[in-house]
Amino acid sequence: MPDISKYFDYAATTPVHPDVVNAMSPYFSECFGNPSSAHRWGQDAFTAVEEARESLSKHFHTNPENICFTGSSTESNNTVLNHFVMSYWNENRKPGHLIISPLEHSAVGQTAQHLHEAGFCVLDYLPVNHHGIVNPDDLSRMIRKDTVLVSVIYGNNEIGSVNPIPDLGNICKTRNVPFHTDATQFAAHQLVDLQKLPVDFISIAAHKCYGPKGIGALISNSKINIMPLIFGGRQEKAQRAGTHNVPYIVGMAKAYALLEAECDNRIHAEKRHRDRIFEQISTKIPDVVITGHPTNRLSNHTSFAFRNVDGLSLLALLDQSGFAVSIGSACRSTSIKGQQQLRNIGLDNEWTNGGLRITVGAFTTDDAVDELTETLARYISFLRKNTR
Amino acid sequence: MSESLGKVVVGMSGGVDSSVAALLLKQQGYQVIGVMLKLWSEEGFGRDNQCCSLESAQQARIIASKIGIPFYLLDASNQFYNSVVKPFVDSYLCGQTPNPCSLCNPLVRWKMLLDYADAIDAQFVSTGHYARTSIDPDKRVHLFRGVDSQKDQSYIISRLNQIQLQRSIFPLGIYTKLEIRKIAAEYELPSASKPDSQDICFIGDGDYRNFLKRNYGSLIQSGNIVDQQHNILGIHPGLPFFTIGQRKGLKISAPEPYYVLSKNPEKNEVLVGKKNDLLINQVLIDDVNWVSCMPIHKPIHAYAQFRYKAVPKLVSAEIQPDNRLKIGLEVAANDIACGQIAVLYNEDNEVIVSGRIIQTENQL
Repeated sequence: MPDISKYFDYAATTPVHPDVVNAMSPYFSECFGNPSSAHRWGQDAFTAVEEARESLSKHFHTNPENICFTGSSTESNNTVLNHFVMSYWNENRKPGHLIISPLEHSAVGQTAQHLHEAGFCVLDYLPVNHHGIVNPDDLSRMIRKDTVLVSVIYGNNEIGSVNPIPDLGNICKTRNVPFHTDATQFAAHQLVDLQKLPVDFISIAAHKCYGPKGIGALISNSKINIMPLIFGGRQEKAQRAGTHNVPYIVGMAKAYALLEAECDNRIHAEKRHRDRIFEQISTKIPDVVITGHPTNRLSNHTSFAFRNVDGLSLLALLDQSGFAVSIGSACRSTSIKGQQQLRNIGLDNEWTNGGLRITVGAFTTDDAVDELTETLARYISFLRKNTR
Repeated sequence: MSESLGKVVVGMSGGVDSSVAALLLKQQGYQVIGVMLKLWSEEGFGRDNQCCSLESAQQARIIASKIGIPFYLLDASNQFYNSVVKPFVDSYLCGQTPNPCSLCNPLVRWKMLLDYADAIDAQFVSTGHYARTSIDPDKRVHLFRGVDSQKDQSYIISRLNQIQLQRSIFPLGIYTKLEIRKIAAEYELPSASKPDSQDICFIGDGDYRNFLKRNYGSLIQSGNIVDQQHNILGIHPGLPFFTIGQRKGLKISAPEPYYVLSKNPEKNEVLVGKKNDLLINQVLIDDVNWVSCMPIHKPIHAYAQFRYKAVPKLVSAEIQPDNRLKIGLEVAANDIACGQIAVLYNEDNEVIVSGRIIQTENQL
């Protein structure tokens, strides 16, 4: 088995917490019922789903009826964009106006692009600064009378920056425009209070937060009927058809309950490892920039661009040394053009192939961090020597 | 399974040959690491480089997981562009018919694979080429044709130098394609071959003429088509659009067809003649690679192959003072083009020497 302390890709996914596994376990076997069934087996499963809903609603400070379980955060993003864009279209038979940031996860970015290309909406991108952060003044300027939705990512998955979601939300509230944030990364590391946060919808997943893959939720702060993306049943008040994934729903609720209980300790440990990585890489390796904001960022997230280094080679070398890191999605089109997000924050060709994301978590140790940064320094100097 | 033979980095394409190569090495007890090189390709044609599309990368990843080896994609697009695409274009503009694969293997593929191997302390690299090697008592590696004469790829591998060969393993050389397919079927690996097409992997629509027109049109000029007596017979749209031996597209009406004999980049002329005039009996090569021996300074007799998959021809060859090699054909032939690779084999199907054809003539 590989050494888990060398796993530095918690932003991709996390191992499932043993307590989560234990909570899920009965719902694979003795409590296998379908929550839609009327008999006792179904009723037990129904209770489990509703208890999970209740638990999550407390965590996010909203009503249980405002939680819609989905198959992933990606599905939640698709659902909310589709709802607002298509509702406007159905009512007015003309495209509404959708605003997103250029640094969305593709679950929002490509969905918006698809709706735009199909003619259902006009798509506008908010400008971002060199940290990839949106300026609320730009949002004020760009909102139009026909703006159907603003969707801005909370904590960026590739470069870690955290957007000013409260400010953006307040602007939308004042202008009476629905506001959604993809909080997949952020909500896995910070407490999100929908009583205080002026957003209408957030998307979350379980697997970034030591829960299982394949389960997510679209959560609102008030009762809104969402147009389904998936038809064929009355589950989730007919907003999302399909048999409830009972064990995963239970697991997601448990994962967020654990986050709530351990939040301060987790953030403290994550930040300590994060800043250790920042410090060591900045001192050990020349020609490197931190991508994203150095401090206003996800607590477990570091990201870099190395000049004249090929991220694919770096990943292949690090993996052979046992270290798991991420280089963003390098192959987006017919040719490798580097990370699009790095282009969006103004880096040029010398840098965009050298993106690297190192994210820490429960099994990260100081020793592993030290060994990683040393190995990284050695490989980068090797790669630079070879390409010269 | 013991993996005591050391690490080997295998270049994988997602096709049957490299997949089985990886499988065989693993079975032999090597610690196998699969790698695909992402090469440069012309954009805007909705297809990737044929050697390394995203689909084939995905396919290779599935195969690697089936065999139980790690798999990585490496970006070789810059190296490929500089070492293969640029010289390819320059060669055409100089009136030659380049062979891009002969540049890709030593300068890109083996360089990248060996660089990666060095970094992870792997001694060997491997591919799914059909060629064989053996080691002599002096530790020099000898290169032979693969046993499947239909699939033999020693022609292309002949551009590797001794140091590259010493670190290369060609597990498929002792098998026929049929046997490789059987092994693939037995282990439920996909048995589809990449189409053995004449297309050049990096060109958007597969047509090198259009590729040159699109990207280097301003460097290509029309000129005269002349016969051997310097009579102007017509106008050509640009030297790169013609290859030696070409008959079609000359647009000259004559009772007997004309063929392209040679191209003169200084005068921007295409020289044409009758079919008999195409015959060549002397070839000069440079970039001479004596695969496993020091340069031989006396005349050698050998079988020469002037194109990939061409029938070998009986020749005698003699090294020149400038280290180029002059090759004389016993029987004149008509399909030899400058820019292609000439490979000389001995009677045991061993590669003696290879080089790039820079001059062809018919000496009476």
